[in-house]
Amino acid sequence: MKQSTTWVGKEVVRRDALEKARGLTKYASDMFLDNMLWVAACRSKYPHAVIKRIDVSRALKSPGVVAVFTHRDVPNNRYGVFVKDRPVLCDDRVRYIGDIVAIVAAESKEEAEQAVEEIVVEYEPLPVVSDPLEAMKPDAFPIHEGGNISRSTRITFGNVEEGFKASKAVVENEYRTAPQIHMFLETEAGFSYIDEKGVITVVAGGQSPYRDHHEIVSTLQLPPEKVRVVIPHVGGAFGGKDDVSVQIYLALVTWKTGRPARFVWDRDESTIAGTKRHASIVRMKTGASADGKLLANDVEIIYDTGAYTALGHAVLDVAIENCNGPYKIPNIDIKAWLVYTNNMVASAFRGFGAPQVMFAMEQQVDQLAYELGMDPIEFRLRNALKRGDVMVFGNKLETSVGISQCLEAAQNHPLWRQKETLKSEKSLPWIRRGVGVAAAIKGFTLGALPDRGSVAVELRRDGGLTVKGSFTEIGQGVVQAVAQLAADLFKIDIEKVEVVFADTGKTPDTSVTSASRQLFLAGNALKKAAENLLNLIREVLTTRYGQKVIEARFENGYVVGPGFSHSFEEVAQMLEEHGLSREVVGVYDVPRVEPIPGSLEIPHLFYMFGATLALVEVNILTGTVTVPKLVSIADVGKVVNPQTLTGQLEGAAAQGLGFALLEEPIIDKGILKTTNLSTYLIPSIKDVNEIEVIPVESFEDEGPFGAKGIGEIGIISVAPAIANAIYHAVRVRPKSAPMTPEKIYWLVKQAGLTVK
Amino acid sequence: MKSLSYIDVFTPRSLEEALELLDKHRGELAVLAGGTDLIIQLRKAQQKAPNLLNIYMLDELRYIKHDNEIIKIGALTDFATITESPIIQRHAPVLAEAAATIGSVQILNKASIGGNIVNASPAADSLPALYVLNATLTLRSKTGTRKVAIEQFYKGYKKLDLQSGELLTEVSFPAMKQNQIGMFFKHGLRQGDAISVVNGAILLEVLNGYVKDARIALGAVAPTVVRATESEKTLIGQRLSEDVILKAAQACLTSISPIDDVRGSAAYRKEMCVNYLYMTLWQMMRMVNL
Repeated sequence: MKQSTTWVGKEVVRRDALEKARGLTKYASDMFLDNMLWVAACRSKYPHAVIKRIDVSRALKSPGVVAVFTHRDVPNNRYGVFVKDRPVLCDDRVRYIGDIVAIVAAESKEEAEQAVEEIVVEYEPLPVVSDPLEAMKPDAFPIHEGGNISRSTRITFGNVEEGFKASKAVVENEYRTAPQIHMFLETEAGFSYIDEKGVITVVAGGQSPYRDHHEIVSTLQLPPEKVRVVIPHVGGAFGGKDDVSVQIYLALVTWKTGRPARFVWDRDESTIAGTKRHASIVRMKTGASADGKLLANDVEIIYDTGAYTALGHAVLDVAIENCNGPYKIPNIDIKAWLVYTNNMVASAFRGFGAPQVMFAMEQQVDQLAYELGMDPIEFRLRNALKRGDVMVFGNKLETSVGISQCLEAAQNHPLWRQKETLKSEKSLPWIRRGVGVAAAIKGFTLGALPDRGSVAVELRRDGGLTVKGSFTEIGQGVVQAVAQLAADLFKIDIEKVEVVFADTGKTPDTSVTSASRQLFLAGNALKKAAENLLNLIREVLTTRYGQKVIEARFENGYVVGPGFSHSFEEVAQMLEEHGLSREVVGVYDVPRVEPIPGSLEIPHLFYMFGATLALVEVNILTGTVTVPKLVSIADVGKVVNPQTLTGQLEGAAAQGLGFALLEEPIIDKGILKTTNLSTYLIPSIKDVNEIEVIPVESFEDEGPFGAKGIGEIGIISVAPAIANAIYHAVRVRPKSAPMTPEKIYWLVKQAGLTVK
Repeated sequence: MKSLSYIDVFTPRSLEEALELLDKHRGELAVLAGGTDLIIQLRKAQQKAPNLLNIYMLDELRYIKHDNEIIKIGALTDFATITESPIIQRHAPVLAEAAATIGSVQILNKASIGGNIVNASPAADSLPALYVLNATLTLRSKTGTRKVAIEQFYKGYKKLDLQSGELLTEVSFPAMKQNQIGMFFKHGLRQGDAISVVNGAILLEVLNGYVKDARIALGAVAPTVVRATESEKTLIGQRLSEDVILKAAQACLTSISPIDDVRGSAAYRKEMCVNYLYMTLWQMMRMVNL
């Protein structure tokens, strides 16, 4: 049911805007403590080797060194969310060049780095497995005990062979995408200290304080109450801080030395040891009937997880769930593998497995439309999911579905309507123009996995509210969104809402800030908290008025009902006088169904949808593709803060441009060659031209005020829209992302295009 | 990343003092100007970094003069100043164009033309422009002054005709004439702030519609910047036409010897040289035949 709102949907200036613009916000990497030790890592010299001997005796004597730690100092030396396959400090083997064998804690950064050079590690190099297809072969050298397949699965519904038989057009292709590096402005960074109560406190960039806490206490075998994790403002995460990075090492140093410590990765360290988006190989055979109905999709998905699984099992599920696009397809057969190699570790990255498969599927769909002589948007609309439809996995879609509205917005956009005019417009003889479209789908929340979050709300004596949750402010604006939701739920001026976030010592567990779920989750937990507070207040008022108060509501900073009206200050006092807590907790359990066989978390009950339009200019003499205009359309349920929404969608579009056109780590037998921003190119301001954002409000009944997530949807359809636009411009299919000038150049040259 | 805290930095207050120090510590000092390349190289270097002669304070090496049809640029002049200079924009627009593409605004403000020359990256964006302008370098030492043509200055990959004790103090070249046109091109892998995969400059002197003189320099396709002499020959004496510019562009292949690296394959670099020469000459043809 739609409700009128005072704050939700309004362009309220973000509460952290001024402090961030003025440079006052303190990130973990900005903070220095007295008497602090500097931590430096001794990383593997080989992508794959047996460790024969580690000798730290010389390093221990190096000037300024206080301690050196190896695997012998880690009581439980394996961790991982899905598979405990990753050592904190390597013992028997190193499996990629980011692996840490030892850490040094010294009085200065220079001394710590100098001492790292003094550590002697004897290695016996092993064969390097860098190509996932090689890694999958039965005779490939095993990187882990169980072989190189971290996970494989097959999910089928219907009968694809029947589907292809009934198809008029069938297209079959192999697509590849490169691993993408998050390249957040703030690298993995943190510091630690023992507080006055003896608690080891780790303050570090992350996305889930409670999960980081769990990884610390389980590996170091510390009592949970002796560790606290705080996540201050984070200088970018995009999924790259979903896994632990510096946290366990910081806790180890502070635990063993009793001293504060600081561990901040250099840019090249971050590019090597930070997680990546999975490199992918996706093979797809897709069929459609003469009247443009998708009938079958036969898919093989191979994702390179690098040396460790990290969050890969869940990423693979998202790939499987989204590889059919936002469409109804009666017959599917999906085989998927998550493969170990000696490459950089892959894990979460905005889109979480969806952008790779959508790069494939949305080009498949485009080709089918061309082959059948149909308009690409018309073709998509004909197959688009609607509320009440049965999805590919046999699940009924009973939540909001805005894909048709997104596609209609694209269809009505001048860029699409004028695409042939734009294409034929005169320009330099070597420039070709084209317009492309792509659609997107992604589930938000953790799908069929248990997903619960708590938020506490304290009614302060001054009549204001303090909202407490472990959601993390990674730049996305969740703190602002939570404040706006709270102001509308409690009907209070937003200035009276304080938000405390991401501190295991102060905030309840709102679980991970990922999967575009935090606004939805924290918002719903807030709704419960509002109900709980009102119930508590009713109880007090019942005692006060000597009769059961059935009706009471929040209104304009007051609690009002028949014959009474009390300000929040008065209510706070009444609660105290009755010996009741001024703080309530709201707990929200995300509705879910059992996972389908062969999956962990498929299906979600809630999906975001989107579409991207791209205008490209292809220089056929250089292969350079520029994007003068991009339109990002997203079904967000309900806009909470228009400015934040625009920021999210523009940022996702820019990051998507990087994935589509630029970002290409070059890995030579497990060695990363592009370890800085001069060789690993992300979009500069000159690469990001006009981006138009169009929100579609489909109103999700289960969402707070109708809202869904927005964090990821904007990136998913960018690369395929650009690929489809390139096809429209020059009639070649770029099946490998990033679509760099050199790749496009050879494709165009092969196609024999010449200057007009 | 290596710490550089152990090195000594000498900061002279005059050119004279700088030359004195260079002489005294012959072969032991690296010269620090804007530092945009040098500091990164020192931090990445495997061997011990040398001590530094920091000349950044020597304002006497910051100038752009138009002197008797010769343009003189002090070695410490930064690229933002060069790009914006009315003298350069009017008398050597090809250099203004090249200077603007060297890097981000921050780099343009800090990096000096002398640094770009002495750092000797084959991909340095100012060099092709200086080649086609026939630039002369002034090298000073405690004992004297020497002038070297820019083409003679580079003896191989990062090998310079620069003696220990010598400091590059000035770059000079003749102002472009009314009948000369120059254009710079650069192929980076993104639109802003990328190191060149290929770059180049073309300077044509046109008389009555015929090319009287042509100078073409190409970067990032050989150990040093090279002149595309065959391309130049193809153009000289001709009217610019579709046919002539295509032949001239293709003729560059005899002058270049690119390699494969993280930014592109040798084969791609070759094609880019030809195609950029074609595109640039095409635009110059338009200007000439207006």
